[in-house]
Amino acid sequence: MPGEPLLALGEAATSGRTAPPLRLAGPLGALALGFLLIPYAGLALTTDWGALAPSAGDWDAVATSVGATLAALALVVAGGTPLAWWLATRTPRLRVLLDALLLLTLLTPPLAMGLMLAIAYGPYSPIGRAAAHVGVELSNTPAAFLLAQIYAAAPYYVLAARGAFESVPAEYQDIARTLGRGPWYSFWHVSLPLARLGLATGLALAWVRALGEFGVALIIAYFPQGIPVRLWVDLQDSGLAAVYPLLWAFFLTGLPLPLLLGLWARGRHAT
Amino acid sequence: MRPDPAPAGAPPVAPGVPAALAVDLRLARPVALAARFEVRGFTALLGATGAGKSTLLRALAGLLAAEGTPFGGLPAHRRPVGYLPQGAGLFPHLSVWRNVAFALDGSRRARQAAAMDALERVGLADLAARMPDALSGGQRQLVALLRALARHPSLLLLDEPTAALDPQTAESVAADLIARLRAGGVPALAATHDAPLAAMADHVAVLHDGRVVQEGAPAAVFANPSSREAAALLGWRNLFTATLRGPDAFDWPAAGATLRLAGPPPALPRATLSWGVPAGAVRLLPPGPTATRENRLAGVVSTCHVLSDRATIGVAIGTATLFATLPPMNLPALGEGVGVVVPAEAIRVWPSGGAAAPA
Repeated sequence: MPGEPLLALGEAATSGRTAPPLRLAGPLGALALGFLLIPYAGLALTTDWGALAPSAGDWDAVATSVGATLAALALVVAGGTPLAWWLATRTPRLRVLLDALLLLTLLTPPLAMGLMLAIAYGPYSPIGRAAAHVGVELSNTPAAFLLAQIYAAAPYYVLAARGAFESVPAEYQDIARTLGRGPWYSFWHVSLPLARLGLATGLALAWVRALGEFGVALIIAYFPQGIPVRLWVDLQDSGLAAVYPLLWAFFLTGLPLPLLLGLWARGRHAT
Repeated sequence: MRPDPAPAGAPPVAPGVPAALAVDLRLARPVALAARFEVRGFTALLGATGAGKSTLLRALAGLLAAEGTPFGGLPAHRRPVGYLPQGAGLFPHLSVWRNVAFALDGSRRARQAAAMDALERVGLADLAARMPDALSGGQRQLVALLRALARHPSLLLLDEPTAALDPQTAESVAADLIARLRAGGVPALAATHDAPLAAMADHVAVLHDGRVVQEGAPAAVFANPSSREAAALLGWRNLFTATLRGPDAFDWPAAGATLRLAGPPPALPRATLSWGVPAGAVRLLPPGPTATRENRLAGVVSTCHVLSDRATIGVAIGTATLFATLPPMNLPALGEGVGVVVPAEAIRVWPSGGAAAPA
């Protein structure tokens, strides 16, 4: 009603004092963070900042990695979102089986996944032969590189997205239906925005996994060389010093997207 | 334009819409229901928790499969109903005006203008840009109502409209809601276990055991519950078990008393029966001798609940407690002996619900 006092925002959220065990959380957290940052401190201290010049091949690797990862991410989102939605909204009859299959894709070591992809898509497999027939080689080509990244990243995105969709109360879909909106409209205007925090997390995870993918790519897409494989090649050919420039380039390339995704999702969440 | 401050988009009753909407629904799951009743103006569907009120509402909205009328077979998004779930169910990611405009089509500008127009008419225009979590319970309810009315529904379904409100404002918010719906001429069905809300309605239907056991105008239903269970739902607190004794009297074993009836009871299958009396009909007197002729009993004040406009006094008589609602003046003290008169014409008797009915 007009004139009625509004509920004070954050009234319940900010309770006065922190309980004693929680007071330890700060120092313990700082300690844990410090531990995780030790390798980076080592890297920063040993980097010869004056002579930090990436080679021409390094820039090619950055371009290859970023281009392919963006493309892979687009495909992962396009296919993974409906899959996650389906998994989140189905009756739990096949739940255990679906969970097991999804976990399997997550569990497979990258090197093993590379071998399995070589078996399934390689030049001697039926799929590889069929693809070659239409002019697409699925070994040591951009297409193979994309394939490696999709297999590495998709499980992370699908799992996170499924959790995000599951956390949206079904009631909102029902309300949207009683407001004359069909399932497609409610998905776009209700479920998707309400799940965005989890979807952004999934996207960030998928980006990190795809960009840093080494094991799968090593087996089926040694060429074109993305950043991780190029790091390996630099190390083999020129020694440790050659790794530094590309490593810093990798951090600078990889960090902004997940950071911005997190800021965007949280910023829109907190109103 | 109507001069009254009716809710947004609320159309006058369309010529083809009957004044009373007949509901006849059957469903087996999640609760077995076979409900037949009418919606007239603001109708309260009164039932205990778990009786299937929400299920019935969801079935009417098309969110659960059910057989029957109205809207049989139509998918939810094609039914001309507005649905307000418990707690209003505003979309938490949309601002107030976007919530109101959710069902509207057209350009953003046109949708916003229509939503603002609706919000202005109920005096909430200055909240248009807020998010739902910054609104009070009553404001949320009103915004959800505007959102539902934007589609011009021919029936509005409200699930426990007072449940999410604090007790101080529940009554005034409910009264305001009902007034708006009456002004807009939209028939509404409100599922509730809140007898005071039902008392404000135009029509009451009592749901018990999967069917509507009684319906009618509130005054008639509240004064004459069709069963002990209906009486309990209607807020009758004085419900007891008794044994019939002759054509116009019964024994009340818990109090060790015999009470007289104003007339012969309806045909009762057994000598055991349930009886009740509205707390408002029970009178308190100074202590004096008991007299069966006037249904005068003696007891001791055991509880006292005083509000600004009335007091409810519990009087212990034997092992039973009889409640009387009085003006909050000159009240007896706790532990004080009092005389109690149970007017014979206010007593209602029903066949006993069986052994399960507590004394």
